[in-house]
Amino acid sequence: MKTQHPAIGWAFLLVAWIATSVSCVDHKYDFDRTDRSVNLTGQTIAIPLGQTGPLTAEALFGEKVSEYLAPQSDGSYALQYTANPVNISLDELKKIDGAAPFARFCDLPLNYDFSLFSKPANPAFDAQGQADLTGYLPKKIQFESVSRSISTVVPNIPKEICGLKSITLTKNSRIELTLSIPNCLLVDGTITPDLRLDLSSIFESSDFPDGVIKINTPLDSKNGYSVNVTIPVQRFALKPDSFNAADHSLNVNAAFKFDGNCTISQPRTDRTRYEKAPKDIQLAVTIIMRDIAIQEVEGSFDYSRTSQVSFTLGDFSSRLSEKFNGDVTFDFDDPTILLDIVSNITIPISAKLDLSARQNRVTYAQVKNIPIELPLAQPGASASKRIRMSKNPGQNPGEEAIRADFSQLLSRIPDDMLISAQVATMSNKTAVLRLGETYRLSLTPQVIIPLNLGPSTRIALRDTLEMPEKLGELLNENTFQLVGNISNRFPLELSVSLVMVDADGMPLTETVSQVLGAGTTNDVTLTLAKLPGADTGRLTSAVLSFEVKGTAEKRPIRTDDTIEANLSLLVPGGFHYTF
Amino acid sequence: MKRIVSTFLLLTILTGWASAQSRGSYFFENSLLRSKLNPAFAPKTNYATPPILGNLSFDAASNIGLRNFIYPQDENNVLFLNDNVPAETFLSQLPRKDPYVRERLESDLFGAGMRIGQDGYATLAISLVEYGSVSLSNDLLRFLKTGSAGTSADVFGGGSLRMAAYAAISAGYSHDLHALVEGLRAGVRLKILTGVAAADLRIDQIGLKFGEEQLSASIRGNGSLSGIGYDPEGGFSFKGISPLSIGAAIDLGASYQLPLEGRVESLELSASVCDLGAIRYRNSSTALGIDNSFSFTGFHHIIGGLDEEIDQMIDDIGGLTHINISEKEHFRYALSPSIHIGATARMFHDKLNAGLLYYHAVGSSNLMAACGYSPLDWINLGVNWTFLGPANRLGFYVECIPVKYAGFFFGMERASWRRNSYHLPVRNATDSFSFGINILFGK
Repeated sequence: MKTQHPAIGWAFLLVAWIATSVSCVDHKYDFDRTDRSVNLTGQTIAIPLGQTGPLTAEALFGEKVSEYLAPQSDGSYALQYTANPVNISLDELKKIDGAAPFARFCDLPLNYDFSLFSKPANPAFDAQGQADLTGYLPKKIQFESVSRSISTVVPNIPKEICGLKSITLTKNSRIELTLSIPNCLLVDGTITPDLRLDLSSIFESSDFPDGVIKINTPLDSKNGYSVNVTIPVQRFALKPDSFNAADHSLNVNAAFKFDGNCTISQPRTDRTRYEKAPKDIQLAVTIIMRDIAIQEVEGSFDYSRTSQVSFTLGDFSSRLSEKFNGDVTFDFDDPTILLDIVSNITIPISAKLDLSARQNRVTYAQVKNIPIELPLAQPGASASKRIRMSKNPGQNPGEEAIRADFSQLLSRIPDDMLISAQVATMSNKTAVLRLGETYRLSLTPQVIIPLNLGPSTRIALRDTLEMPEKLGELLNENTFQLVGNISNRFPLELSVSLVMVDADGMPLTETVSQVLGAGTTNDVTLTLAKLPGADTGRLTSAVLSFEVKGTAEKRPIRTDDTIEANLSLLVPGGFHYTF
Repeated sequence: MKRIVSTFLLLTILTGWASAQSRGSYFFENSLLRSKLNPAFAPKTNYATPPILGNLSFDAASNIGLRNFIYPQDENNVLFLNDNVPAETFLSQLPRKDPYVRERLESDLFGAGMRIGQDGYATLAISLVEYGSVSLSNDLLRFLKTGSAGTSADVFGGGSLRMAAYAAISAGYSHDLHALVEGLRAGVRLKILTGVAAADLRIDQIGLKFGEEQLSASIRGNGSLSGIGYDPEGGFSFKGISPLSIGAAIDLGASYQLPLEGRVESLELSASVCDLGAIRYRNSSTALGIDNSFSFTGFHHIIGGLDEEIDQMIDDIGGLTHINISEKEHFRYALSPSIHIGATARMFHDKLNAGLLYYHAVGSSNLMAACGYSPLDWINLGVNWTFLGPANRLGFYVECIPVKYAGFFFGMERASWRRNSYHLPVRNATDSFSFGINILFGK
């Protein structure tokens, strides 16, 4: 019995070893025999594809076009582009500078000497060597009137000025007047003048409205018996015949008149001053006109010139040319150009505009002689104006309407446009011109092209959509169905098609199409099936195409022309996938 | 998301190799390491265990196997999501509870046991333990197969992944309490634990809805990591061991030898509870949170701008897996305790035994019947049959334990003896395996 025990043990060990090492290998469960295709969910999967709100023409034409698609106040769509402003400088007006012609006139000083009194013969000096001259000198001295005439011609007045009404001087324009008693006998006491200078024949000043300057500043030992007086002048007074329009010169004929008196009080002298003083003591008056420069002239003008500027249409041209000259055609019926004008010109100017449209720098259409009035600015400010130019411009608040037919000009999208402006003053009106000002005219054109559907309308849009990676692998195993309905509220029959392609554009699926009737709601069932033998692993993108035929009646594209899609993607039997 | 799924699958496959700690040793009185199951047990001889080889045990419990997911058809086989597998077939084989795989791996770096006086026996061990579990929602599988989770709102749980690795220094003592009650023996083992790495990840809720008007998805979950880093670009990575993660556990056990007369000479009644404890992981702890949703009601720019909408949709779907990462001070990981309650009848001078063992381990309750035969004093041979638990399984146990020099033990239990070429079980991945070679110092 004892010897059997180890034998049983070894047998047990053997069975255990076999059981653990061999088990039962079932190759039916080997992974290398596994079909790795799976089918997720097993039932038809529905995924929303397009629960879109109304798609308007903006969506139909794509982002590149919709950027320029603007709804108009009447509910229609138009292509709209606002160009960058272009500027016209009127440098000829800036050159009218009055300072130089008047320089000679300003250099002309006027001097007047008035006799005050004679030195007393033997005044009584006290112990300190001083003498009170009260008894020796007159208390009041009356001067005789003194007149002086000026007659000169200021030549070379700019020819643009054809009638001169007034001249406004600069803020610095002034008269400096000096009163002095050279070698004055007095060491103490006051000489108070009461003088009148009549300059009304040449200057106007708010400080002396009647044209008479009154001078009564006292002269005494504190100011050395000498004072300066400054008198501002604002305007230059013109006589009716002072401006000679024939030779563009200004005749200056003026008379100055000076009179008045002086009052002497508490006059005293000393022995030294007395001995040095001349026998005849005089009051000297010097008048100098400083910075007499013209700031503004008021008159009538005769000015004309022609300027040409061009504005480019930039992206508007390049983006739309691609669409509207090839894939899409519309009737551009009544194009409008809105012209925003900003000007600081203070004289009324009429202009005539010539508009030329160019493509590849070649003019293909022109509209000439569009008459406009430039906005009239106040000196130092700007004025603006909007002009609407079209065949039937209508009357909009804040706009000036001008009839002009741009149908040829904007029959296609030009690369750029030229504006030629012939400007001219209206010389029968008086206006103010500020000298030295930079006069500039700023023009901002806005092109508005209404979009109309009509018999010649053709739309063939093709959009390539990049598809996510792995979609091709799904397509290899699945058939996708697009189901739902599309409401087409355009008055157009719309054809939609979809095809999946590889990087070379080779189709991998059948092209599925659906025609959407005009103004109807259309049920859609599109089945996207793989082409036999196609390698859908190469799928990179989907090509979506829209084609539109023309409409019998011509009418604008409206903002309530919409497409409303309610589409779902059905994957029958769930997602098949092989990993 | 792909990495998370890959990690789930990888762990599921790895744990498929597992077989549970053989509990066949439980019924042999002189078995060397049965004290691991009940600290009251004491072997007859002193021993020391060499690193790794001394004790290597692997324990797995699962309610699924390959046959739940792979279906043979003629020469090939197909996956459960294949068209050729009827939904009813797949669903009928799904377990009632959510599918899970749990496993526990333990290996001793060092171990020793020796008698202390007449009545005592002390053990000392340094072990490495790894515990992992993966579960998937039945609803999720049902949805993938049928498109419906069977719930009204198409919202269901996702699953979870738990893993903890730690080192344990354990000291045990068993004492014969015959002075109190003849045949009574009690034992205790204290463990100081040092956490190596841990992960506790849960997808609490997944919502999926396919419809002509709306496609929506949502995902919500959270998790904690320690010793494991997560980078959205680089995935998970091991951060290294830190002594900051500390825990403790205790094993308690008792046995009672009831002497009988007749053919059955004695009846041993025993009970134990092991791994009562927890670890506070502080090593580079990270909190993960995911709470994302996606909704798609259709493209709004079918003509023009569709490219951008497609890109946006792809980005939105990608956003579903966005994980919020934040630092976390620590997180507590409770060990999965095991319970053993057994009764062993010994006959023929201990040469034959028969026993019944209830045990709860790696999250499952089991009932095992076993019989053993010891043809010599130093050889133990046993077979066992577990008939309650995740799966019925057959096991055996072999142990050679001479008084001195060297001994070995080897045991295993298997629910599925059918395997594929990769040794993965076909029926049920509930397995256990234990092996060890030890140096013996008896007299």
